[in-house]
Amino acid sequence: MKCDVAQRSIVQYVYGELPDEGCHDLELHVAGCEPCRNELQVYEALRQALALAPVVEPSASLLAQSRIRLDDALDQMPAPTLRMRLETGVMGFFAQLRAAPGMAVALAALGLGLGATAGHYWNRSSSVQPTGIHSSLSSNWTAVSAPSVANISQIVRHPETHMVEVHFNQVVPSTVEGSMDDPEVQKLLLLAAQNTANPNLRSDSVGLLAEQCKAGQYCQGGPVRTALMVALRYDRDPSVRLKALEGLQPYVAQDSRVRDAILESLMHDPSQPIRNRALQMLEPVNADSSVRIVLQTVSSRDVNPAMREASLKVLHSIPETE
Amino acid sequence: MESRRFAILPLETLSMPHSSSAPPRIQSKTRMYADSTARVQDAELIREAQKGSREAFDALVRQYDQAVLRLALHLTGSEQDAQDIHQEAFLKAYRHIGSFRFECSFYTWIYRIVTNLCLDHLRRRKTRREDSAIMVDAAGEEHDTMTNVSDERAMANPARELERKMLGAQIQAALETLTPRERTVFELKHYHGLRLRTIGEMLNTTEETAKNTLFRATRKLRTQLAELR
Repeated sequence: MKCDVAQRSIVQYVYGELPDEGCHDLELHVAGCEPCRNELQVYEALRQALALAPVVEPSASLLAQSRIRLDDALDQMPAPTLRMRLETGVMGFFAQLRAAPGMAVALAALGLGLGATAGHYWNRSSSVQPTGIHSSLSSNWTAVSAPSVANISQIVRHPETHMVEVHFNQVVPSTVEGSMDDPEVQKLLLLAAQNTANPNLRSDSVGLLAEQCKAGQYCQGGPVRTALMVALRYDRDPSVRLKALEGLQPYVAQDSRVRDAILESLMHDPSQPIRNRALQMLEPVNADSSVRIVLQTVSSRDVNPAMREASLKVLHSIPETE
Repeated sequence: MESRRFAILPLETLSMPHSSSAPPRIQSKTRMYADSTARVQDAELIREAQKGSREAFDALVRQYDQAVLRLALHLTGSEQDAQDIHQEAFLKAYRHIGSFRFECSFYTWIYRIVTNLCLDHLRRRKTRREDSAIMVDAAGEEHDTMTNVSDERAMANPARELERKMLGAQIQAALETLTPRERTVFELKHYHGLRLRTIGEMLNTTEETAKNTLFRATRKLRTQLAELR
């Protein structure tokens, strides 16, 4: 280790932020380098000097006063109406879009398509069709394929003739084909996982994402794992939640957010198969204190006797390590 | 609810300096147990609050408001400003609890709101420098922060008490030389013991940037406080 690297590492070392191997290297270096040893002593001394000005705890009266002020302010706030909750939901949704610009682009494209389709149907229902002109086009109309016309933007009749020029836009359904590691495909799958109108689409996309996660692919943090946790917590369809749960299995030990989501399912999910599966999935980490707390709660308070018994069984299987 | 009055910081957000002696193992396990309990209970309270339960939100406030007030008080040096930040932070949390998606702990979320409010406050105050060793209480009266720190040994020795006050004033003056961002990162690391990764998340930046900011802050303090060592 060189001195400049060592001296940059000293602050991290003093604050316990240096990885173990870095600590070892630094300690070895400092043992044989007097300037760096002095530097380390200086920072240690600085920490001790700063300890002379500790953080002042807020006084009990200040805390009480702040709580009263906050309570009053909260009382004056209107209770969240359905509209406000919807607004919050929409704002949250847009916040998610900001975090995932690809999804925003895909949604914008979807919106344009829907708008174009609506325009087409509006035009069809409200347009007045002059008989002469209509008859001259009727044979070509099917050739243009009516459902693919989104809207008519302009009609120009050529004077002194029976010819007419129609400008129209077409809706072109698109298909994307690619492997699961294609970012565009992943974005579309994530989009489909949030499709509240079509549960089959959600089921397919969550199923695919979960399979990939279970195989240990494309799920190292980031949006896919988050999408599965959101599906597990919020999806109305139990089969979708179950798929999401399966996809999260490999991460139950390493990711505390995943573990929390599964613990919530164990405690609150209305579907018994999901709760059973959550219980099974937590067995490898049943020594974790948060898991143990939930198991104790379920084993003592759950309304389902089978669930109480199963949780108790898992609890008894935990070795007394402490 | 009464048994959950004090903030239990999530374990993964805290770090232990190498220089301090390791805590006894039993304490660490107790802490871990309490942390896990808080995490699970928080999730339940948040879900209830999202459904519109004011009681659940109040319970969350009671869990974290002391830590919030402590941070705001130390950063602003004014009880009035700390109260304002405390109120604004929780009102913001109340308005936006519906958009909380469990992607981080509630603690990180509320601290992110508070640190941003404090940063704004510090930036506004940068133009009108104040002697922050002097605190302004809610009634508008000034008093020395160091007199709040009880030290019976020092009280028995007036010379030592005077020396301690002067040291405190020097440290406060040195902290005032930091930029608002350096001050916030240093505060969260040194006084609140948060991990740099968590601090980065709170300030919407990377761990690396937080690390560099801490480095700059400690170097400045080192220069400012050279005579103390």
